[in-house]
Amino acid sequence: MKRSEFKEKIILRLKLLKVCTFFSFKEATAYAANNYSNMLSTFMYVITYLVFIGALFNKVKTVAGYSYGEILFLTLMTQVSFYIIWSVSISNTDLLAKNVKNGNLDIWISRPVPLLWFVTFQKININSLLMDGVPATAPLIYLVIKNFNSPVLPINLLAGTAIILMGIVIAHCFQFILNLSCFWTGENQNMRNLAWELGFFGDSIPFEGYSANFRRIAMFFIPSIITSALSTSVILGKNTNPLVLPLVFGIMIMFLYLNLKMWDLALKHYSSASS
Amino acid sequence: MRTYKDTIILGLKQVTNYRFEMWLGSVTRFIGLGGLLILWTIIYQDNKQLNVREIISYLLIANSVREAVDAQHLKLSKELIVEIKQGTISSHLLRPINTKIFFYFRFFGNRSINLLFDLLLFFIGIGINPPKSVLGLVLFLISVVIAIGLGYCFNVLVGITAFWTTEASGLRNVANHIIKVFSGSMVPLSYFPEFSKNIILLLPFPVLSYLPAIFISSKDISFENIRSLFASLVWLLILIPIVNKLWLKGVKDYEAVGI
Repeated sequence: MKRSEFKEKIILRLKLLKVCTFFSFKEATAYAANNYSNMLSTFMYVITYLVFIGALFNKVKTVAGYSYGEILFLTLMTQVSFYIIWSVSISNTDLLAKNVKNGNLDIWISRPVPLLWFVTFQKININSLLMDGVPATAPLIYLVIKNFNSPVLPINLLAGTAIILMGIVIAHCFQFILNLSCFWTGENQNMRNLAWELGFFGDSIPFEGYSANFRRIAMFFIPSIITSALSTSVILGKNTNPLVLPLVFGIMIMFLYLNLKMWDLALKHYSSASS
Repeated sequence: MRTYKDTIILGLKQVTNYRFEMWLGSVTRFIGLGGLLILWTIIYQDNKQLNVREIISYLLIANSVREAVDAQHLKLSKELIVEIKQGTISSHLLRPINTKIFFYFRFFGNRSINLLFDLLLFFIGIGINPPKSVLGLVLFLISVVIAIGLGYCFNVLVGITAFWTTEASGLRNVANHIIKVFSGSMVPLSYFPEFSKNIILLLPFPVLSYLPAIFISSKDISFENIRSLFASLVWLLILIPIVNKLWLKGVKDYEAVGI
């Protein structure tokens, strides 16, 4: 491939990303009442969750060696990664399932756009990230600042951030791959529910709470173990294993590869009234 | 009555037609509950003074009751919201039936398989920590009956807001989150500070999970729990006429083609 061709491809993808983000924002802001009720919903979720943690720590001192402040920090990591995955990934996997079911994917197949890129970033829900994520996380941030007093080394923070980012890619691929079942079954609401439950399984369980064997296996089918539990553990300095970063990187590459392969396979099985 | 019986059978047939989806749905439920059980097992490892058997049994009973009375995800309200939003409720409103009850029975048929799973979880729960007294068992049954009534009221109340707002899924989520914590299905209400606990026990939520689980598995039935059960009954008696009035008002305000 020539350098100019490669550049052209990148520019096309960035343009698509910009257009999709802008359109998603316009679409989301069109329903003001629904936006406010969603904001209230996410805010209430965090409040009720904080009530739960508060009630729990009213009776216990630690959970898997994590103090109240550290559990709040873990919850913050979970929330941050959840909102990113929700806004960037799940809104797109849901939309893809809908488009496959009603045959709308035909329109995009016939157009000269990089299809996988398009279906991955068709809906970037910035509005949800700002309107739902920020107000809902604010009380949590306040409580973390008030209660968190563990020292954090910059190197751990850097490594933890890298793990969150790679974890988000893994979580997206995981959601996307399970969602591809819609190409075979048409309706896959329960499969998406399953992907959701596995994707955010045990969102308040510290990494150290799981047994070593469970951790090893679960890293491949419970993405939240990486995005929130492992990243928090690394940031807090509870996990100093130097192999963690290369391991997560390897898992990410494996998921990206699977994502590509499964997408090709799904497209081969795609059939609609007009294709 | 026959119409409603047929409606249950129809609902059951609908759900059993999609067997794979049905099984997947059941597996998904177990995963969510599994996460909560793992969390409590981990909490126990750090805090040996807690009775893990009692807690696991409590969570299984509390969550199975909450799901059985449809206070877990307020699924009936979801159906109502969709029917109102899409206008398909019009055809049901024209028929000579009680539309609310019709929806309830159709939904009952739809989730009959889930009810079997709830029963399974419930029996595992009482297997781990068996009932302690006849009085507890009687109070459990009374609390479940009240919980069914309140579950129905919450579902209809949330669902019919769609008559005025069209989209009410956000409100449904809000109600879900509130019920989740204040019904005691995540953490027993006895874990709350005394003052908060006393207030929560006077709300209509504890009967959806906490009270049935406590009544069936506790040795002593406390006065505060009896008082909470009575408060739930009062809430039910207040909510039923409110729900009926709001339903009639909603139908009156409802605008759809042909209505």
